[in-house]
Amino acid sequence: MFKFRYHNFLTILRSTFQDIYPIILIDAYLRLINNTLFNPNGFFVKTFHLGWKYSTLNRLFPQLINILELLILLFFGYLLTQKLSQHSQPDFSFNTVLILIIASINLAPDGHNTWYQPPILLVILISWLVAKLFKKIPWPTLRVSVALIAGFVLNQLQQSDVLIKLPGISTSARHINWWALVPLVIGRNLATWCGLINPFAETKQTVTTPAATANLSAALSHQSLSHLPFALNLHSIYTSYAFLGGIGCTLGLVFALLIVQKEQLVLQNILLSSFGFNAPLLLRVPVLFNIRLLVPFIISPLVSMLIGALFISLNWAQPAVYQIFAGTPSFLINFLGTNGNWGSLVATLLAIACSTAIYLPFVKAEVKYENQTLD
Amino acid sequence: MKTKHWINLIILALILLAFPAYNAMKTTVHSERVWHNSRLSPIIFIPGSSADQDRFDDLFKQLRATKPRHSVFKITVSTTGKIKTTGTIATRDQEPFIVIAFQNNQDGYNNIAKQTHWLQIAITYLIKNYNFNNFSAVGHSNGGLIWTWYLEKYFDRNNLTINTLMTIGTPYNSLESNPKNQTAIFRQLYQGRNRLPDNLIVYAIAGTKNYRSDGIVPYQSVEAGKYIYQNQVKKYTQITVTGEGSTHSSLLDNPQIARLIQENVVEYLKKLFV
Repeated sequence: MFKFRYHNFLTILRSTFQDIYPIILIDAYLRLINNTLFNPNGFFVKTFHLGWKYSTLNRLFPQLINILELLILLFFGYLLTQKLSQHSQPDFSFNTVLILIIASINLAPDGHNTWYQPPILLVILISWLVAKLFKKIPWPTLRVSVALIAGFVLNQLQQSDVLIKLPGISTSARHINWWALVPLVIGRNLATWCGLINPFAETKQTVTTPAATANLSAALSHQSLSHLPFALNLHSIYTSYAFLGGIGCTLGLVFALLIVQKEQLVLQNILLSSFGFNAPLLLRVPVLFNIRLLVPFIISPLVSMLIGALFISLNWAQPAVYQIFAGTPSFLINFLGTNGNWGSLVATLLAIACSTAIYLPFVKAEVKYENQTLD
Repeated sequence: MKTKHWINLIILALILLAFPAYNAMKTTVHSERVWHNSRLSPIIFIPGSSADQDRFDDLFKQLRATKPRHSVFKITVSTTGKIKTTGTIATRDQEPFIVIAFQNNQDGYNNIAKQTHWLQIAITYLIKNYNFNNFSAVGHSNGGLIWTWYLEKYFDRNNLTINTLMTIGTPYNSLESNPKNQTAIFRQLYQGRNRLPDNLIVYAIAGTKNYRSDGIVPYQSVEAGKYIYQNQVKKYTQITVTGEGSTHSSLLDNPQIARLIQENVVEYLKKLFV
């Protein structure tokens, strides 16, 4: 009985993800444009020496994108409540939206209010609770009142950071500690998989950690990457190899989908994934909440990091040191970050190939399951 | 089939993208290396209204009396934004004196706005040709206003660091002696004060012939600089110079001023590394 209900819930979740997929796709393309074209250090701006005159757009665009993403999440909550409550009461969806709006207001102490983006898991939980519990509340006015109170309580929780405090990776460590890094990579990917971290934003590859800064300084002074003080560090291993195609190394997933001839989906996502934006893919396949794709989603970045570390340790590849352009395609991160080291390009391509091989059997199983469901 | 065709095209475009990206990265890393390894830290002087690029010559004679000798490089920016240079920067000179003057050197709000824009052109030219990442600044009279406006409007703190700024007899509130009467230039600089670099050290020098002014600029107008700089920059020091050579136009010939520049601006880098 429980299994049936759970299966039913996942089917509804999948179909709602499919409903919002086109807007997620638009959102990802807008982010791609903003990152590569409207940013003074953007990939296309720097590569093609475009005159940068988009300072206003660069300020406005991220705000508009954040609002769009909030609206997408509200719409997702609206649709999900409607489906879970089987359209029994028209005001249920409205109550979900109301709770989410109130919970998302971020009251800053300086009076400059912003919007806090609720994690997908929270939207799902609220939608489910509204659909299941609100039918026990008799009058619409009372339901709205309960929604207002629930929104307020969630807002207070959100202001106190309870919902968003997740373990992070210390950036002050100079040397890599695999015993800490591996569980944290697993934790982060798991949190994304279950909707605790929203996958909309790309992972920024900035040189900010002490080890990365020391490497950069040494590389600029000696004009070589041969004797760096911290060859293996978070920047050269984690941010350079664990996000090839976005969180979960999903560039491998794209190629696996291409092999199983999901061409339409690949066409829509190959450009985005190459630049590290994989939210549409994660929701459309779906990877999120999909137990069949959890294993490759976690294993893939770990294997990719191991390949990077092995190549660097054996001096087959140099570690990425230089600050690359904003929105650099994933497969070029290490090649450009080393100022054109071929070994690092080979390591990256090998990591993508391994990632494809890891995803492939799971994608085949997913396609088989999909076909069975269709039958 | 058509879809596959498009996918192949995108993959091909992405691969081809690697070539221009690699070239762009090479150029970026090269300029970053030059920038990183640059030890040049010029002191840039801007004269006041009606003065040309030779305005600081007498002051330089006093400053160059002590070793090491600093080379002098002068720039005049024309009204069309064209740059004319005089002198050279010696190869081993780490702290050259650079003067930036303007063909249109007239007083007035609109002229100062234009001069600020021309200063931006001159600084861009200097960075491009001499690859420095930090400098110090001295501004006499309206030269101090141009520096302040430049720091608020054009200065990019991600690419450049300004160590110290010394303004000499700068009329922050024009020729107004009553601080309650705010002039257009004061309002402009006051409104943009939060964009000033917060690690900057500022010295504002006032000359006084009597208790009220240096003969041209009221003491209160120089003092109005505190409303712009105080609580915005790292340090703001106000110094009053009196006695012989403290009138507005003779301030630059005053040995006291030369000593203040020597101690607080020229020797700043030495202090930094002690």
